[in-house]
Amino acid sequence: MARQKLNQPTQPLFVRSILSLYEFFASLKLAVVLILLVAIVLGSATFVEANYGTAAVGFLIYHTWYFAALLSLLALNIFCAAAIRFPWKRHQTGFVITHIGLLTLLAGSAISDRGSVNSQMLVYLGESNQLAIDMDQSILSVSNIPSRPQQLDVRFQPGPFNWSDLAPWPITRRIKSWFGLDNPAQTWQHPPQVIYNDGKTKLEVVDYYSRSSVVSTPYLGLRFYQPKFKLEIPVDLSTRPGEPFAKSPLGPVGDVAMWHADEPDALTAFKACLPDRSVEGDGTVCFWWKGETTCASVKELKKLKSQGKRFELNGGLTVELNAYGESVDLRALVRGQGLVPPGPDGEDIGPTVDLSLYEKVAGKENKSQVLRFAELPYMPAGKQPAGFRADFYHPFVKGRVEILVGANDKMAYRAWQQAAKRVVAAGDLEIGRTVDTFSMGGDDPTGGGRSVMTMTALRYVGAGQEGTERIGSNQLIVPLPFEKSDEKAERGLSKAVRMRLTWTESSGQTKQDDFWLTQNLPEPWARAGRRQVHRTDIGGDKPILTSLNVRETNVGFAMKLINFDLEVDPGTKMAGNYTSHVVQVDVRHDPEVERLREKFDEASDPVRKQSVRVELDDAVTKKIDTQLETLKGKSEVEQRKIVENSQDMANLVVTMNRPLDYPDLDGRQLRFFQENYLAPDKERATPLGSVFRVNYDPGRPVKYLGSGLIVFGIFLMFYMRAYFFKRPAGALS
Amino acid sequence: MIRTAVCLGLLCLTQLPAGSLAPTHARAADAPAAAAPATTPSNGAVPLVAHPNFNWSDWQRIPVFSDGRLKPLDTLADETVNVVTGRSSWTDPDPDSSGTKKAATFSSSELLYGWVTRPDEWIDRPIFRCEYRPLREKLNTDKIKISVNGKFVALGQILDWKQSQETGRPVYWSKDLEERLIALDKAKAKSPDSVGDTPEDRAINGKVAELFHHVKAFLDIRHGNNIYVVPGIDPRALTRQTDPDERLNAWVALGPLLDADKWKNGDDVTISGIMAADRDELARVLLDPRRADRYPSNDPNSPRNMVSMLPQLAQAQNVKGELQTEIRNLKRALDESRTAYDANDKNTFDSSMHAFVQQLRRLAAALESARTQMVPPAKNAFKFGLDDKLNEIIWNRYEPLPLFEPQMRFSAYPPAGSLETEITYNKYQPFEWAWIVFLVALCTLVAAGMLKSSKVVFASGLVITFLALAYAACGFSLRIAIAKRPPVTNMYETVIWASFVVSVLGFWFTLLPLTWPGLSWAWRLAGLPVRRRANDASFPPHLELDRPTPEDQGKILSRVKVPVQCVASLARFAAFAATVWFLTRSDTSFRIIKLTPPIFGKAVAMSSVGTWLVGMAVVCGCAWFGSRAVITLLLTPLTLIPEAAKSRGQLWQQTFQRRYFLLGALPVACFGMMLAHFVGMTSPEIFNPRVGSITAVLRNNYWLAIHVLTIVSSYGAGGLAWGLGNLAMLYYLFGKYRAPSTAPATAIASAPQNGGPIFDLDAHYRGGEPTLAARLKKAGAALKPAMLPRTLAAGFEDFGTGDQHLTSSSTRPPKEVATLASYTYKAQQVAVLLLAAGTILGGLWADVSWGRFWDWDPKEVWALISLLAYLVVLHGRYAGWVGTFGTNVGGVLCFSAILFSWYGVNFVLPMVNGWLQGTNMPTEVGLHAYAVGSGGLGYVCTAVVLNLLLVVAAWARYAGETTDLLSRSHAVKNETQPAAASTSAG
Repeated sequence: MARQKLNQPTQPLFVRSILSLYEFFASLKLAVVLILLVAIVLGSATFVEANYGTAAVGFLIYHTWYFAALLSLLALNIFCAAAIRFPWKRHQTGFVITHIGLLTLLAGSAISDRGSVNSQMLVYLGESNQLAIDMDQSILSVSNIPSRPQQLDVRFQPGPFNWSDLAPWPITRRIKSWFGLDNPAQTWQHPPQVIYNDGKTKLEVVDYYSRSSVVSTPYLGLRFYQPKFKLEIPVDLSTRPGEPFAKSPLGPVGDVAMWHADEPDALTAFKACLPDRSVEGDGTVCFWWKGETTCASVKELKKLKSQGKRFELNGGLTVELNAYGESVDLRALVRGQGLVPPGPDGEDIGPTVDLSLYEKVAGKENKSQVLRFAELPYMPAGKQPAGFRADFYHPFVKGRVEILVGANDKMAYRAWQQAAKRVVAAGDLEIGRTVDTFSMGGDDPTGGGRSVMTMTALRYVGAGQEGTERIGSNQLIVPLPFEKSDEKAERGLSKAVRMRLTWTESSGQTKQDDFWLTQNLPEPWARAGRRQVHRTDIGGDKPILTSLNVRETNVGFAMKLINFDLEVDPGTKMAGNYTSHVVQVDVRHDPEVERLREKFDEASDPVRKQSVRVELDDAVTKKIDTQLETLKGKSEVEQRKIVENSQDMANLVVTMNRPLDYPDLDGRQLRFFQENYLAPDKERATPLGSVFRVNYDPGRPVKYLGSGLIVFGIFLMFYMRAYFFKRPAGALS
Repeated sequence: MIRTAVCLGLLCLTQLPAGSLAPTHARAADAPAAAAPATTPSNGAVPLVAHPNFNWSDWQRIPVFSDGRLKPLDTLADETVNVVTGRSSWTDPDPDSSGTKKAATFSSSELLYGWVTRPDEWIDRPIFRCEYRPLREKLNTDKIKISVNGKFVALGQILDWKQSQETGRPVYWSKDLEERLIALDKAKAKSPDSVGDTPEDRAINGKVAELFHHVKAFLDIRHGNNIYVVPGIDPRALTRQTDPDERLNAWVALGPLLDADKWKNGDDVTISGIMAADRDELARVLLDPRRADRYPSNDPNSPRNMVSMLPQLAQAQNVKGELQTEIRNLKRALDESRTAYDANDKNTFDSSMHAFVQQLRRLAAALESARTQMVPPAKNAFKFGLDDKLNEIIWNRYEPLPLFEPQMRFSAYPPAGSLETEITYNKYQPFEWAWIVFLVALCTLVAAGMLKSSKVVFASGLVITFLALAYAACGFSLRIAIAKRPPVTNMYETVIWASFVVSVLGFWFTLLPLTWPGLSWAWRLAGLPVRRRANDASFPPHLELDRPTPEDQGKILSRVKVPVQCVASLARFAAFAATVWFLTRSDTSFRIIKLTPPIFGKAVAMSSVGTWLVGMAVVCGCAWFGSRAVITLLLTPLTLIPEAAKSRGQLWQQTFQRRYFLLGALPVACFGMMLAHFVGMTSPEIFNPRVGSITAVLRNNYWLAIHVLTIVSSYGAGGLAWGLGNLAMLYYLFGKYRAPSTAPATAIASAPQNGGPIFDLDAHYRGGEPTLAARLKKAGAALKPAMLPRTLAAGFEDFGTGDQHLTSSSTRPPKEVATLASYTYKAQQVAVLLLAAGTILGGLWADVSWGRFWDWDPKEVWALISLLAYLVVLHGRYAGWVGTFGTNVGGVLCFSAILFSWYGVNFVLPMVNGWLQGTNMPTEVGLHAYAVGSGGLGYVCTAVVLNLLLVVAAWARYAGETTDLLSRSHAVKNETQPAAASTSAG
């Protein structure tokens, strides 16, 4: 493929430089270098993916400008290489077709990158849906900005990392430090991203959590560490609304529990109210009274009771055991039936003691009743004298770390170890301090020693505390560390942004609103109930409404899931095939819808267009609902019959590897793939859900064409070079 | 995911057997009643006699359901025994104890029979493979002594079996072992060989996990517990829309059937439904709150889950009578066979085993008909004789589960004889022997090369190669018939398939001179009976009838050429139409696009019309040329031999000269088959020779067939280039370097043309053949440590100059390497074609199945990287950077990219996260994650490094010779090349 050099010494310098640039871009050597470079970049990208996951590699490599630039350079090289050989000779046909195919394929990919839809649609059995969402893409919606009549929707794709994790790489910091540019004391902050700025109103994203969770306060973040297995277990304790305590499992060995007490001596009593010997038999009750701890085993108390005596504490308090139960039914207890064992449907609350306290005050004996539960130490004890505390320990109770929060957010902890049958550690807990808790070795009778776990308190946020991380009353947003496996659905559920809205009031005063937004999901996705729209009152007629949403695609028609086939290989949990039987309701040919559509097409002003769009969507939804109404309460066979006779409805089947093609209202050819299914959830009472991937790829024909050309071109190279079809020559001689 | 399985196994034993040992205990107590001689199981005094002469074929042919697939019991036995003993048969390692003085060898089927019928006899027999000495040392305690050098251990040597059964939890002899198991159980998120403080500890822990994998396999199968032999009537398994996580085995295992009388303690709902005296007893037993301890609420058998289907299960009571009898007969039949077995009575055993299998079939038929009775009853259709409250709960929670025909069909009992293919496959194990067959072919060909074109030896080599290919093809067809899908769904299958492709390509390229005349004539006969007029360049072209030309004279059918062409064309049109119809209209999974353009729907989308146009063009193009290719192949048998015979030895000579293709291909094929067989035998977690089930998206899919076959075939083409490249490396290292030509330099200066040889080799070839010793000496000189840095530095200087530097050197590389380079180049081109097509087909498949044409999935990306690697070599050759040596090296190095996309993506990438996190557990990477595995990395890396060392050594010799570093130093001694030294230009 030798060709003569283009630039000659006789040409003007400008032409020569252009030509030599052209030759440079057309050169085979550049091609070799570029191909090698692309191969190396791709190879390293797969390792990045292996460690950080698919979303991360897209964010770090595949969907970045520099990767696009590398591919563009390759495309330029391919183009010049083909162009410089013009006019092409017959034997170059294969070469030219292949290279045109490559360019076409790259162009097709570029077209797909913009304007494609890659969403999911979830339809529950017996229900319908017309929305598809893309969990990977977020939209920031702002309405009622004073200088902007229509709603602002900004695509916001900050990737799979929390912004705080995106600190510049250590290497750049080191290089900076050589030149004295880096200030090690300075903590790094992601630069804010301006969403909107018209001079008067400015909206910025100042922080972003790719993974976060909303927890209730009081909240305590703990880290447990097991040195032998080098196992780190983060534990978040957060109080659920309506519950006075927080509890979290700690692996298979036990629980961590936190609760709150306001009495001034509560912490002291908590730390001191410990069994003085190992807890045997039916357990031990520990009393703390006026700064002194006394313990009595249930056996002792029973014995005293049978003798008609009471257990005496120093300071004039006597105690009597009313009843003891090893397993007690909660409902019966609430109904006042006493400590009875639970029936088949009952709720067992474990070993319980019922005590009577007799306190002599001014010669009069005050009686109060106290219930203590070995497994539920945080349950309120009932009316009892001030300065008194009782705790019940039972050998059946699994390992437990208890944390009590007193006044001024002071904390104390104690660790009960089942194997040692005693509380092995107790003391004050401070943020940032590490303390020993209990052994992982459940069977290890020596207790502590080689496999003690340590506990470090990382962070405490009390109820009602103010701060930017507050996201509602008694709610707090906590960032979660990056996790490779946590991709796909969950990530979309836990995105959050911190926004800053700055506006200038008519008085010339500049004000700011700083708030967190969590991502909203539309119906019928899980947790759809939570929907956060932030209102900022800036003094105008309407407050500015800000929300973070996933990208939604209204497909323009409804899909109702009539039935779902799931074939499973018997004896395995492997699904053989999934098939959705759906009814599609498409009302686009309804006269009213068509009229509104025309109106929408004619509208030129964006505000008007938006309002007509809303009107159109409402009309479509209404028509669809009317159609769906006719199917209600009918059997599967009847439904099919109704659909067959209907103009606007169709029975469709979507199964694996057999997608459904159907255009949306804008004429885009959508493809519905049977992607997955959600198993019915008995607890949340959701039926089975079928998950479709809804896809639109404007570059598809271009890519197909490119692919076809490449294969055809390579084939032609063989064909015309006669590798297969002419007598082999060359080495044979 | 073998490691997860290991961890679960540990869990099962350490947390103790709510389900695993306790029921066994109950059974063990009853066992003596059935078998008098086996009452003293714990001291191994039962004579150990194998009965290989018994007729096991009935037993082997029992259909069982396992891993979602119907297979003969033979396969299951082989799989299980392989896991337990590490081999597919077991020989008593200690024959003295059995008193016969002769080692008894048990086949897998017989072993399984023993484990099912007399499990307790096997407790004290050393059946678990455990060769790791440090672990065996740890197992030694003051109570149990095992020899450190042995290969096996017995369960009784690990556990105090008696004590374990009494306490219901495993009592280990070795405290150390127990501690390790606890530690392993706690560190479930880590791979066993990364738990522990010292490397030694970690290694032992890895082996402990392995041992318990063996133990678990045995515990699971003994008593016949995991041998699913007949379809069950659990309503949940017969319906759709239930949560597959709750889905139970649709079949009933042999163990519960034999133990049917103790159904109250059993796990199988089918048995409970049949054996219960009445509905009331059924409800009482299944809803017993105490069962909640055994089955937590997420277990399908928990009372909570049972409630909702109880009324439907109670339907079984309507048909229980007959079933009960059949189940009892089944137990009796098996007991009879065992009695005969113990009595060493072959005839009685054979007949009673036959009766047992017949009885099994009768039971299956009865159950099949019972299944149809399992329709859900109407609400409150009957009352259970329990208190009203419970009745209320049952009927309130009741969920009718309508029967689902496809599911019932899928799990139906197979007709007799339907598993014969697999029996045949198991019997002959074609891929166990394939490597030997290929090795024989290779040896013959090597001999042919040594014997200087001995026609007879070479021809027999070709025939043997052909037979080897036919043998492998038969093996593949059996495998395809068993699995009902293309043989490319796991590592094992891809390795054997790629090996097969390598040998096919080698064979094809070698034979091309012989086959070519016949093929091209057949191709012409299959064409349209018209041709373009001579010297015609107009468009549309002027056509004329394709009459035979003078050179066509004498060819077969040349007189009737036009009629044959007409007939062929008619056939071709028919085939074309049928193919297009099949790919566009047939209502199967093979339909790619619709025949009608998408313009008649409710709305028209331009992009879909474009897609349709491209798709139709491709379908029509493929159908048009594909049909001609098929007709050509049909005509080839007619044309091949007459055309080849005409050449009178000249073609034969050409074929002989192309033997390098086979010499490069056969070692690769042989190596691949060996690897598959031996690795598959010893570590099935890497290469699993079993036929398993595959994920839903791969099933019933046209694209799987063409995409994966193309890609794996491209691995084969890459493998051929690799084999040829390595052969060339050997020639570079040990070959005879030659003096330069005296011919004018013009021949050398002309640019290298598409892989053709750069030099006129024979003109350069001088002098006699050096002896092997002389060659080795030469190679040794090149590899001397003192020489290496100099030669390699010289090699770097010439890096990227192609063959330019050879023009000035005084020594030329061996003559074979240029030939090999042109062959390597050819193989690389085929690899590029197949890789490009396969990668694009992968994109199409992804588009059709998931709606994403290209998703940067690691497997896709590595296929692309492999393609790019070959493109670098091909383009570098055009650019003049890569010469003969570079092409050969490229054949070797580019295969590393293929190796990574083949092995690395599934076995290395998933480990990366685990390595960095310190857990060593594989994690999922990308869409092809269903093929995640781990293991063998050390071997693969060693092989790659050794291969690189070969390249470096070859390079050292080559660079040393061609820069005259080596030849000059030897010039004085070497009298055959005085001219070389004097003409060296430096």
